[in-house]
Amino acid sequence: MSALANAPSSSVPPVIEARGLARHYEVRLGLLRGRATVRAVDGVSFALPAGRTLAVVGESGCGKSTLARVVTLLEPPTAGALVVDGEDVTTARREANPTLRRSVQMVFQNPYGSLNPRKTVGAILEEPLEINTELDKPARAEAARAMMAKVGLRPEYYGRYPHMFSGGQRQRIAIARALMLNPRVVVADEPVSALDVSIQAQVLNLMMDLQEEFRLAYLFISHDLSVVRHIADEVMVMYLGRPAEHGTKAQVFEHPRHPYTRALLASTPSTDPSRRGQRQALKGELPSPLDPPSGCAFHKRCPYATERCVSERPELRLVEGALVACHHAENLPAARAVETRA
Amino acid sequence: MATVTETAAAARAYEPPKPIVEFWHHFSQNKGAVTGMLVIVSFCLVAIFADVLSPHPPAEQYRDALLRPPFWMDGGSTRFLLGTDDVGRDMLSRLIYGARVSMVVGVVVIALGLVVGVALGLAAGFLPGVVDIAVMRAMDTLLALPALLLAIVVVAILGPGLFNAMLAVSVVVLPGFARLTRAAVLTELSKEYVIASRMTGARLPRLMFLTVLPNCLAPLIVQATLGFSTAILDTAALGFLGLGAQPPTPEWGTMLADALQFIQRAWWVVTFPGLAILVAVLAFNLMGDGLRDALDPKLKR
Repeated sequence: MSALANAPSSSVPPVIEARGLARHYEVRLGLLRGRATVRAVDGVSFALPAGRTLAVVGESGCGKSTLARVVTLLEPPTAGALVVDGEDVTTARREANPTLRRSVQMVFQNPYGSLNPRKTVGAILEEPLEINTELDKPARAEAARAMMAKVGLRPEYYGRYPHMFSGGQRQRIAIARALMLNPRVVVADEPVSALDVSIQAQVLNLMMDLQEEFRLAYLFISHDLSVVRHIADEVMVMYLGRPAEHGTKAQVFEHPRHPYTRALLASTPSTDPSRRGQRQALKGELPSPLDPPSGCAFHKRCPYATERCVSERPELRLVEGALVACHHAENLPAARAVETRA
Repeated sequence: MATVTETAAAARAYEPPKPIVEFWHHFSQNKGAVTGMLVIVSFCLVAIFADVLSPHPPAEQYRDALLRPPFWMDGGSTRFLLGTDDVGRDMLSRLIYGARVSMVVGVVVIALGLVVGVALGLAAGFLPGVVDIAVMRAMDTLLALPALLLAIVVVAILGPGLFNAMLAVSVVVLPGFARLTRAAVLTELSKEYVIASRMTGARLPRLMFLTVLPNCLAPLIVQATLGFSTAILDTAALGFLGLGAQPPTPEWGTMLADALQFIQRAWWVVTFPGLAILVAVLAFNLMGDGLRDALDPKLKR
C-alpha cells in the first residue's frame, strides 16, 4: 500500500510522508440515538519531496481541511503515520516538538482572520522567532524586514497593523510569517480562494518563486481547478474523506481515470463556447459522511456504477502510472468520449 | 525622477509613531472623552490634595451653624460655601474628602473584580470541560442573588467596614467581568490567528495573555467604567445600611443616604453629594467610550 502510494513521486527522498492517515470524529446524534463515527479523512497516503507541490482537490466537505489540520498535527491522526524529514511525528504534540514546528507551517484561507489585529506586521513576523529562537530583538527585526522584502512588502509596512492592508498584502504577510522559521513543508489551505481573481495570480506566482528559492514542499488545498493547474506537480482528488485519484498533474488533467475526477474537470467553467455544451453535471449531493454509501462512496452519483461498486469498496491501485480507486478504471470509455456523450 | 527619490527618502524616514503617541492622537479627537478625562483628573487632584483644599476638617461639627444654606442664599455665609449638614459639618469639605473615598472605592473594587474576573474568564474560555463548567456555574450562582443582598451576605460574613464593603462589591461585579471575558475569549479562539499562533509553538500562557487577551480588552474597558459607578453606588448603599463606610467617614453615598430626611427643608444636603456622584459617573462613562474607540485599531481611520 505504502509502496503504491509513493509511485507517482520521483525517487527523491520525501520531506513529508503520510501513510494511511485517518481522522475520525465521534459525533453524538442526539439523546437515545447513540453515537456515530465520521470518517473525515481515511486512508490518505502521499510522499512529497522538497520543491514539489501536491494539490488536494475536492468539493466542500470532502476532508481537505481536516487533512491540513492532521498534517500540521493541529489534530492528532486517528490512524496512520506521518513522517517529517525521516522522523515519525505521528504521536508528537505540536507544542512539544520543535522540529515539527520549524518544519511544517501553514498559510490559512482567510487573510482577514489569520492575522492578529492588535499586532503590527513586525510583531506578527517576529513572534515565531521569539518563541523558537535565541535571537535578540534587533536580529529578529532584521530577519522580519528581510522576509518582508522577499514577499514584496515595503519596509515602511513594518510598524503597521493588518487592518491597513488589502487582502493580497495580508496574504503576503501570512506567507512571510509561515516562512520565518525556514520550514521544509508549507500547508496552504485554500490560500487564494478569499482573494480577488486579479490578486490570485500575483500571490500564486509569489508562492512559486518562494518555493524555488527555499526548496519548499507545498501541500496545496484548493477547490479551484484552474489554480491547481497553475501551481501543482501532483494532484490528489478526494471524495468523502478518501482519495479517489492521485497522479501527476498531466495524468489527472489530461487522462482522468476516475469518474468523479472526470465530472469535476467537466464542471470547470470554460470560456470556450464550443465546450460549454459538453458539461456533465453530477447528479445528487455529496452523501452525508455520517452515513456513507456502501462499497464505493461515489456509486450513487456515478454513471458507470455496477453491482460490484455497491458491495465492494475499491482500493487505490496503479492504473497506467496513476493511482485510482475505481473498479472499472480500465474499462471506462475514453475521457473525450464521455464529454461528447453527455 | 526627483519625486521617486523623495518618496524613497520619505519611506526611509517614516517611523511608526510610538504606541502612546498614536493612542493619544486618536483619544484626543473625542471631545467628550477628553472632557471626561479632565473631570476625572480634577477629581483625582481634589482627592489627593483634600487636606490643602478643604476649608474645614470634614468631621468638625459647628454647633452654631446647623443646616446652613449655601452662601448665595438668604442666611448663607462665605464661611460655609455650600452650607452645612444636620450636625453642622461643612458640606464642601466633606465633598472634597468624599472624592478621596469614592476614588479609592472605585479603583479597589474594579481592580479586584477585573483581575479575578479576567483570570476566571480566561480559564473558563481556554479550558473547556470541568474548569469551564465549575467557573461558570459558580458565576451563575453569584448572579442569581440580587446584587445588594449578595453584598450584604459578604459583609455579614466579614463584618461591617469600608474595606469589607469594597470586597463585597467586588464579589458583586465579578461575574460580569468573568462572563464577558469568557464570551470574548470564545469568539477570539475561533479565529485563525490563534491557530496560527499555536502553529508557531505558542503555549497556553502566551496564547492567553499576549494573543487573545488584548483582543478582548474593548468590552472589558467599557464594563470597568460602568462598574465604577456600580462600585460607588453599591458601597454607598451598604453605608446607608450601616454596613459600609462608618460615620463620620465622609462618603458621598453615605452623605446622600444620611440626609434623605432633610430633602424637604434643606435641599443642598442631598443635592450636592448626588451631583458629585452623577458627574463622576458620567465622566467615567465618557472616558470609557473614548478609551474603547482609541484602543480598538479597527475603529481607527
